[in-house]
Amino acid sequence: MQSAEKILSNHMLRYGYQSIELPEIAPAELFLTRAGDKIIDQLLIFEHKDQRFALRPEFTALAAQHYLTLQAQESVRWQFEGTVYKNSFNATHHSDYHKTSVGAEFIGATNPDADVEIIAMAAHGITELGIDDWQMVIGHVGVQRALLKALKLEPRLQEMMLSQRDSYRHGQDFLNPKGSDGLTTDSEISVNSDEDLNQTGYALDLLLNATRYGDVMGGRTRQDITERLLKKRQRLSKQPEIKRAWMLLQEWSKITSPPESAFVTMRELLTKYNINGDEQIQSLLTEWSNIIDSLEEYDIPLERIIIQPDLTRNWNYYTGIVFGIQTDHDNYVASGGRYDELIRVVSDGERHVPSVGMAFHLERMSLKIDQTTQKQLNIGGYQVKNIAHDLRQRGHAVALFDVHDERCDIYVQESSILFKNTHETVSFRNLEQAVLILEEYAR
Amino acid sequence: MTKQIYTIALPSKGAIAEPTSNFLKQSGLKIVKPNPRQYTGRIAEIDALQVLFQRVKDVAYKVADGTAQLGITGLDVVCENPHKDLIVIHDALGYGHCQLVVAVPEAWVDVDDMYDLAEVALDFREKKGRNIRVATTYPYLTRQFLQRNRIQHFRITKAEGAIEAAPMIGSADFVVDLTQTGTTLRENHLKQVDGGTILEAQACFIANRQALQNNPELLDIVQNLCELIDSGLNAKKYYQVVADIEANNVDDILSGLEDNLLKQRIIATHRMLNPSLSASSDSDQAIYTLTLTLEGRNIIEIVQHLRSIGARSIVMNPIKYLFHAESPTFKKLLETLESS
Repeated sequence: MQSAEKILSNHMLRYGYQSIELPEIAPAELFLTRAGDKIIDQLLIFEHKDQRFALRPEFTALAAQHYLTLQAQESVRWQFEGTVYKNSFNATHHSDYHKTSVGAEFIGATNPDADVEIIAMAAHGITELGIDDWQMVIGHVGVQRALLKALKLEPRLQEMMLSQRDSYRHGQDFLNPKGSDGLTTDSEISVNSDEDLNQTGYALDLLLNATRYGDVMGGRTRQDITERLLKKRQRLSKQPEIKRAWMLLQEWSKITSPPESAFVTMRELLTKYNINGDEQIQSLLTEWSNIIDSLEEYDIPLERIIIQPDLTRNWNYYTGIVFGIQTDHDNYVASGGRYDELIRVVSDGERHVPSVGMAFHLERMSLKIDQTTQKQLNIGGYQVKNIAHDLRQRGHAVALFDVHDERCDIYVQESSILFKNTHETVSFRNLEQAVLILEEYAR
Repeated sequence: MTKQIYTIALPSKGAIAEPTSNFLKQSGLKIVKPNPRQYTGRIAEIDALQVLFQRVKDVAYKVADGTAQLGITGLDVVCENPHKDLIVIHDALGYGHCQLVVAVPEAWVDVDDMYDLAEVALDFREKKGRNIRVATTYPYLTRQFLQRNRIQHFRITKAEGAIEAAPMIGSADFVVDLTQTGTTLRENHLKQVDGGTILEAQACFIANRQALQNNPELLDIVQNLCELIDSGLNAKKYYQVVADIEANNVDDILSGLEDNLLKQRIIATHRMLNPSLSASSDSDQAIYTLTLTLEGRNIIEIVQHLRSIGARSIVMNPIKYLFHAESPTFKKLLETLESS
């Protein structure tokens, strides 16, 4: 009998995800880059020659680093399997510090089809393990950010509010160390328009130049300081927007329902807060809705899906779709999402490579692996995604590239052979013929 | 059978080395160091205790790993290096006061408090594409504190020595460092941030938990040390007052003490030491010698009041030891050990 890891690895290979080896040890800062020092307590850190290293707590940051090291320009589909290490204050045995992780990253995934692929791969992976009673919860970080942007909140304030997820979910006020009005400070300077801001900014800049503060700027320029000082003052007139945004987040966080009703509720809230005309939000909602619809092409019925817009806790990491697959309440056996900013941060701003990934949480599964479980080949249409899915069901590795109007390049190979890019085009008249041709090609 | 010798680690150099020696001396424990270049010594009053002189940081490490069973070091060091076997017996020995604070360049006129700093951290990420950097030798405490204050994205720059210079030379954006008066920070064009005090620390008395649990005779030594430390620290707050008071009777003196603001202080000390009165004259009014222990604030007020109730001569002496019914520090230690 195959191990769960092997089953999942073969499963992901059929989607074109190649196995790669990544180091078990890396500079601690690499992992901290992903979520700041939020995960510091989970890292197992040691020092060597004045540098701090950590045992890997996950694969994603390593994959991003590896991608940068390779100076890769093309998109890559990578899968990982191996031990990850996390500190545990409740550890009673050395085995509590490590566990096996299986996951995948699609780096360079600009197209929403990549989101669909990753989500579907995660769901079918769970099914391959013999677990059928799962449900998928899907949220969207990008939409929530767009809401705050539409309410005219500046990026820093957006981050602050999003980081208070537990507070707004529980109906609390937007408290801060200074109390409810702590976002502002007493000031004799009143700035109400951008034009004023520029003029006052120039005057303040001159003033700063003439001060006694010397050149100790700690990585900030005088312009940085002046701009922030003025914006801080400007917030005096922003309090109504802040309160409004907070109320919207509170209502937004209460949505937990099937897709059809969830999207209706979300659009009603947009109307209520008078931001239904915001193009970015509408665009993201449409894209999100299309991704949900596309899951049906991967045999994932809508009945399995619940929309929970503010699903993630990790605002600093995810940027778009986020999802979790649960077998019971609050127990996610797989999760993932889009993280378009990670490589930019890891590369100190030099590269911007959108990406999406997922991981299976094997330790949370009560495995019921049944080797006799086999999918029936179900030919139901002419879409390339159906074809790809069917081929994967037959044990072939299939990767889709640049799907447009249901036409695309399809690459097929035996699951035991590494994927290779051949750039040959396969044409077909119907699905049966396509499968035959592709199977022949795969041989 | 050979008598078990235990080890107390003490600072060999640095800001609290000499004060520690003085503190122990004032507590009646004289450190004998045969050779200034040696790293060992003994305490004359306790045969079963040898002294190991270590750097302040190493004191905590040595106690944690059991090389030394007891130690005196800075509370900042202990908090920065938490260890399951490290137990703080007394966290305020009354010297070596300092604060661990967040300090930013003075030029950051837009930054008044930790909320501002959290925003600036986001600025760094958004505008400069990197995490804000903090120079410190206290990474553990710094991380915890910054996270509690909503700063999730930052990079700790390892630094030794002149932390305050890090923003000037460009290796960090702000610092977390120890300060006593703030002078060094100001000299380096840094300013403290409101709400940015991470820890207020002073010298502390520590022990290895397992050593205490497994060695009753070590616990006896610790009890003696706690008694001396508590009584020595208590004594610093009080004066012993001896006054010859001319009065008709004892009740007049007692009512005089009751009527005044002294009452509060005497009541506070009354539990520890009853006023003792004795007649010393056979005139119309007797002379009584009043001895009491008073909290030593505003001693001129005390003198004036004692005069108002008939005091003719007043002697005020500092106290060396003031023992309670039991050592509160040792009592608390026993409770901690029982609960662990």
